[in-house]
Amino acid sequence: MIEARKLSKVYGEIRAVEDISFRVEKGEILGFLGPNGAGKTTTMRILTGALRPSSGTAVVAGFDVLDQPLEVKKRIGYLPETPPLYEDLNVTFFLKFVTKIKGVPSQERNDRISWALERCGLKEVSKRLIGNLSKGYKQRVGLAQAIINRPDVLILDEPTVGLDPRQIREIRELIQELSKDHTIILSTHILPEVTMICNRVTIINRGKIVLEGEVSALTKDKTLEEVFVDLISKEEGVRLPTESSSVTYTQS
Amino acid sequence: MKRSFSNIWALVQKELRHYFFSPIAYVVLMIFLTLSGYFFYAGLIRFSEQYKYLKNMMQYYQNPEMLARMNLNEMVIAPALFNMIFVFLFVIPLIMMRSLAEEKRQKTDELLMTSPITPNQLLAGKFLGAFGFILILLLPTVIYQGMLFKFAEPELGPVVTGYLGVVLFAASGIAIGLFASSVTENQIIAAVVCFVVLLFMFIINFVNVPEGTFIYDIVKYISISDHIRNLLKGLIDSRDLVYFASFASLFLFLTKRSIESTGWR
Repeated sequence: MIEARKLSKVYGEIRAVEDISFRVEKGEILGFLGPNGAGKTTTMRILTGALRPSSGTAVVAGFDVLDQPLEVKKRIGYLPETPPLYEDLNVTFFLKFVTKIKGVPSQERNDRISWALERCGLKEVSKRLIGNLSKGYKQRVGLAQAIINRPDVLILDEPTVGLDPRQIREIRELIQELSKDHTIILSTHILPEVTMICNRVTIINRGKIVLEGEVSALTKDKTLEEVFVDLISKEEGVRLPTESSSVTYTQS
Repeated sequence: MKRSFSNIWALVQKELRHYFFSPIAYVVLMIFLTLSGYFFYAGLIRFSEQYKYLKNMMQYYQNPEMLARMNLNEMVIAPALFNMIFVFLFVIPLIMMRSLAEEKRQKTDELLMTSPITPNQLLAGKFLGAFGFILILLLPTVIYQGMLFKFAEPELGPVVTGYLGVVLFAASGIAIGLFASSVTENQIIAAVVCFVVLLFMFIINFVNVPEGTFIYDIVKYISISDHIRNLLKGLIDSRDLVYFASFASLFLFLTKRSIESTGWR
């Protein structure tokens, strides 16, 4: 469903992403992890067709992002780190606008909107201005705009940020349910979330893939958090203490 | 084709919604209608005082030729339309400043870039949305002209071409505003850049250049007011139309370049 082939993105001197390749099969949820500034967002933006890679390419939902970006964009839903919301529109109008530009046929629009409102728990705020909503609601409107066209591929950048525990659970359930007919890439810093809902993880650091594998295999004798911290500290040349690790701070 | 039209239409609706769901529309409507109404009223009063005076003189001197100079089109309508353009000089930067700058600041450009719309469709939507707003702004001023037609007999031709001039000027201003708004996230900077460029095109003919020189031709060509004058007089010159069309296309092209420089395609 998603195949990244040797993606690289260079901004002047900075290599944001270097030679990244991975595959995500239909129905899978891939946890996409890495420290801040590792190149996660850049990679995800390339997969959406919005950003042209410096070299390499990706095939998303059967279309090449370089040759047919519009076809890719029709088949993806993207929730960026900052949800793209127009503060001076109300929720329903905004979602209607999204269905229009995503090319949802006009007779299906109202169904799709009420489905998304229902699924993201937005019914009671559907007539309110987005600017007046709380952070959690805004996040849910962001999720609603991503899933509203029932995309083949969903790319979610920290979808549960700013939500309360009950909402987080609802959103996780929603994501798991969506994975039945969608392929999902999920980027997050909440590692237990990955253990809970992802099938596989890819960890990147400084623009390169440093670990790939099944969640169940990786978390056999360590938690994902230990795996992650060990890996990144090794890369950085520094070993940082983790809550559960017995290793104290040593400079190597 | 149908898809691209419906994308553009969705964007136009969104733009108009932004204008009327924020204070901008009402502030701009108030400024524009107050000032253009004032200019119209002042011009009309001056005209009618002068008319009364000349009428007395005509009876006194028994000379019916004296009133022939009094022309409603030239003395009231054309100046009123020119003053509308002058007000646009200040109002268009206000209308346009948020257009693309706000999309970037609120990160909503991310949604547009990951949706199946092209930069051209976005530009067309933004342009037509603002243009629609300008037409709504101009609509009430038609009442002024309607009153003149009810109580006097101005010529229709110059009124129509005059409005054409106003609309063409607005279109050029929108193109400049879009460009200014595309190069920054800061609305104030966008407004100032738009205002300065518009003002420059407006006042460039103030400079005293000897006629017949190359520079004179250039100044004459890029000055907006020189191209508006013919239209206000009732003359449609294809050179003026080409001027406004190329003016708007130049800035739309620059805007497209500026949008695409983010990597969007």
